[in-house]
Amino acid sequence: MDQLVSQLLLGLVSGALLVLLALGLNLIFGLLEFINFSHGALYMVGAYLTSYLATATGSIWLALLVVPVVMAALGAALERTIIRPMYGRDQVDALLLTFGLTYVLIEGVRVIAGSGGRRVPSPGLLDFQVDLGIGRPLPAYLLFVVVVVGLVVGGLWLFLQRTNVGLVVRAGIRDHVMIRALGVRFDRYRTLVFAIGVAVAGIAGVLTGPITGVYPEMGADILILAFVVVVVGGMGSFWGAVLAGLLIGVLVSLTTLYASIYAGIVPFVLMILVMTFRPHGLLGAAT
Amino acid sequence: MTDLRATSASDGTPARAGAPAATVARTRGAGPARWTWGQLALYVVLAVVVMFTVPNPSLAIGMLVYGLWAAGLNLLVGYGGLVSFGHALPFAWGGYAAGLVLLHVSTSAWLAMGVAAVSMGLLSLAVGAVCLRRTEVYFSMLTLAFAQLGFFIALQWNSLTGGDDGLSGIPVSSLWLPGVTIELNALRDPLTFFVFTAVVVFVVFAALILYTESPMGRVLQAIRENEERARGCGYSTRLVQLVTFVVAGTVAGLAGGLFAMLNNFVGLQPYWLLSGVVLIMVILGGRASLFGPFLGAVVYLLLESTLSRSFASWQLIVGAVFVVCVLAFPQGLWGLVTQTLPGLVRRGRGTA
Repeated sequence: MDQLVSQLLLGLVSGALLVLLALGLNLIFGLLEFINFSHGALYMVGAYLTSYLATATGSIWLALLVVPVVMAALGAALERTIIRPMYGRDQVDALLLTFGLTYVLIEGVRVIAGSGGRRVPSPGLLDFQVDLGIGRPLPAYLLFVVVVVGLVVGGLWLFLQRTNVGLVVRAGIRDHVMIRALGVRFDRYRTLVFAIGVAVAGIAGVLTGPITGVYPEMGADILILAFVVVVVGGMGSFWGAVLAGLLIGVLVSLTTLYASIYAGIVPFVLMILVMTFRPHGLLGAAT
Repeated sequence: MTDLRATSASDGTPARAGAPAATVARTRGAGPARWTWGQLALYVVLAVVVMFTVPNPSLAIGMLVYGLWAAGLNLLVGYGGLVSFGHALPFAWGGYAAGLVLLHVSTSAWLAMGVAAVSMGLLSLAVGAVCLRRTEVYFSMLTLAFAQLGFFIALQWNSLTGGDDGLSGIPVSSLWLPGVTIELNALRDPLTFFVFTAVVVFVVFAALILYTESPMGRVLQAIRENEERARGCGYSTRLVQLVTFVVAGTVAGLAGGLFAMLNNFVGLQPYWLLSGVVLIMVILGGRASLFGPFLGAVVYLLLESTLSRSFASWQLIVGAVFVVCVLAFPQGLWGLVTQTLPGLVRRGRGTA
């Protein structure tokens, strides 16, 4: 029983990280209308920045503040330079471009940091165990991850629902031709949304570092899972991504406990079921 | 959503409004139509050039196999507008199928290739039915997910696939022809293997051209341009896409089978890791024709074999070339040769 509860909580942690990536993908898809294939690689870059910063300062606190800003700037720069020329063209081209970008980022990191992974020092302040009363005591850091993810998700939701900028973003997702006709400088919103998506991926990178360490391919597997989350939750659905991310995290975690060889397959089986019986996803709007 | 797609071709900033239309025409204009059956001749020329210039026989045969695989993928990417990120799945499946047949059933090359292609065709029917529930980005993500699923199964099903170690020691296959039986040993007699592969690829390549020129192939391209309109014309668009998915899967299965016969080995590496590589080959070579991806495969493998010797991170160069390709030459190398160069020459003559 204890084991079950612990495993459930661990599943929530890994699910929470998936949620961050899936939300970024979803937001970018909503406004920019392409799937950012380089999302996993950008997450990896964020994790590497964390690793260097944390090694220099001894903890991840500075990285948690600095990395999202740096990643947002990187995202904005990428959008302005190489993604912008894709807008008039086929959706497929933007997908292919970010696919190529993935190669460049991964191999670039290999050249700079080497193929072997790096470690991220554990966050000193949180180096203790918390007894929640149920299950075995958990490292405090894992709870901290859940709290940060909750704050980021809540912040994003408030940003979209309560601010004027968020209002324009939502309107743009619905009909960007109309938004442009109303005189909105739509380009800026695209840059902004891409930067936000990349920054959120960066936050996920920061949070992952101390748990698994960093390595060049770390973004590849999680990107595929994030795709599955987006599909299962429903493309463009904010809470769908949150729900599906947590669900898949928990499902994988529980399968690891009871039938570990199937753990890798579970998300895909779920995805096939959802695509067969509910093609627009769990919470996606039917078209 | 779908209505916006038609307008999205011109939704860039007003200043560049003319450019996108030109791009569309350039990537998928009348260019390839001039080169329908001529592509077959081009293939023969390329195969002969490869045969006489590439010193490493296994690399030369690999070029043909990869070329076939990439050309099949281009049915989906270039002709169908469906970008599959999981085309390693049919390739690996074909490899495992052929390998298992050769190991446990018979060493007949025909049987191994037949099983690889037909079984993958059937599997494609099921995979395609799910992947094509939604098109565009959904399709890309779903194909990638299926390839990952296949990878996990191949990794875990130790008793059948050999898991991490793969299937090694696959026996040399024998090719039954009326009157003679030839041993296809890529190590001892690479020339026979090369010629055999070249002939198989030639036949399949011709079939692919036939498919793109058939009424169904034309409908496929119409769907890429405007699915709503194609459906409005009364075509069952999903069915056409599914048939194409099965054709591309069958071709990739066959290519995987050939690759297994060439290397006498099937395993996680490299079979499952090539989804991206084959896509790069397609884009590098150009997606407006079937010959383009073939050229892309040859060039990619040449780059790999020369660069990887001197530069450990040669994939950085490949990635950068790929990005530049998508940004500046969406028509790829072959498009550059057939469309951009003649344009430059003409312009040169005009000013001279």
